[in-house]
Amino acid sequence: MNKHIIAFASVTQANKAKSVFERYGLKAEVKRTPGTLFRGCGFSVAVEGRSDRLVKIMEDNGISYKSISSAQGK
Amino acid sequence: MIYFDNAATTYPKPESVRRAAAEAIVRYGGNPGRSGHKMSIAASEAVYSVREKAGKFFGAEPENVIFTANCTESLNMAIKGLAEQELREGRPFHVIISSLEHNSVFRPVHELTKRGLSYSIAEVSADDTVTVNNFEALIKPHTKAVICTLGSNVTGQLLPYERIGAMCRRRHICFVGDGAQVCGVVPIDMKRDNINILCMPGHKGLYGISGTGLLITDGQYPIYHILEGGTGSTSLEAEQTPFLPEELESGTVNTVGIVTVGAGIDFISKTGAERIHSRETALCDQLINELDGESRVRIYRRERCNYLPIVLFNVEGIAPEETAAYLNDAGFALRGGLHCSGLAHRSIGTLPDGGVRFSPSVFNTPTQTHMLANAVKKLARSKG
Repeated sequence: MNKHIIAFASVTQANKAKSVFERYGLKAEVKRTPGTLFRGCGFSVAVEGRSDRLVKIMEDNGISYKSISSAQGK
Repeated sequence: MIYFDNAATTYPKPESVRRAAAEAIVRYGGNPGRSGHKMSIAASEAVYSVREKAGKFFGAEPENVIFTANCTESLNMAIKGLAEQELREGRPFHVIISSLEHNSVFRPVHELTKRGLSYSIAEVSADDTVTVNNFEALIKPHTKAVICTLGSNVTGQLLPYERIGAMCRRRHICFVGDGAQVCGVVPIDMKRDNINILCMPGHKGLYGISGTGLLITDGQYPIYHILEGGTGSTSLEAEQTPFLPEELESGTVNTVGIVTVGAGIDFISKTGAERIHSRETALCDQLINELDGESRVRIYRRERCNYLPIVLFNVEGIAPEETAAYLNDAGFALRGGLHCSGLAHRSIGTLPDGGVRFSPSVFNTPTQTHMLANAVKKLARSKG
């Protein structure tokens, strides 16, 4: 299964996403956003799952995110 | 010392809260929302879990839960944050407060008159319908908010906040509730009770430690920040972070305190809010009954009103501070004086000295209350 890094504007949104993903049975971890994705402060969630499903879950739960990218090879 | 000053801050804290504080100092030493190392991430997750818990407890989204240092700070942020843009642009901004307000509402509102805000004071009646009508009668075309206590810290009288909120919703006015004495004691749901912004301490009815407060918003009325600084977000921008909760949480939050608030909410949920309320109310009823018939003891309660577990009384001919000092010497902690609420004491006719406030917690017992009643009787009978 693909692992994705989803970047958020704030640690609160990242934690909210983690909490929601875990409710859907997905293992998620909050991390600092890698510098290659964004400059400045930011937090991400590393989570396994199909990107379309992850996006749908976030949309259904009112979570806004900055980007979603595959973590493969990172 | 038998502690009956829980309206000021609850004591003792539940064992689970004390344990949570000790654990938090060890486990959550990192700065939440700042760094990427495990300790910082763990701290941010702990803080978020309390945001989620408080949001669920009061009917709000977790990101709309803002942690502050106390209820006064929450109220200042709400009042000044609501008015800031309008006053800056020279638009009229009128608010209505109640006759039972604590200075944490009255003073920031009064302070803003220096910048053009105007306010009116609605008299709180023993009749809820009259109270709601008193508020509505004061609405002007430029009234933007009703800001009022949900329950008096002086007499314990509960305001008809759900009805005041419904009236505000109908009139498109923001309703800011000061839940200092109510939150954790009476079930509050912001949606059901029509509250747009709810302010509260974490260290009273929620049983957290001192230095904790919450501001919870439904997001309908923007609250401009009154403090700028590091938020862990949008760090390249000169402008303050534009989204909640970070916009209103500049600087490092009180992680240990926040964790204790979470443990306090768990304690209330586990014990049962109704059970806590009925136990405390029973102690108030007991005190009133035991002092009934004491000709020199006056208790400030009105018929047909709903009350929080608070009893205000005075011993005739003895200043309340003197009564409180006597009780302190006898081993009882109660607060005498004006309780930071000159407005409320003016309203009930207890100026200039105020009264003595009895405010039990779930940890007090009927035996302790009986001992207090005897001490008050002894004082009342000693100086004829």
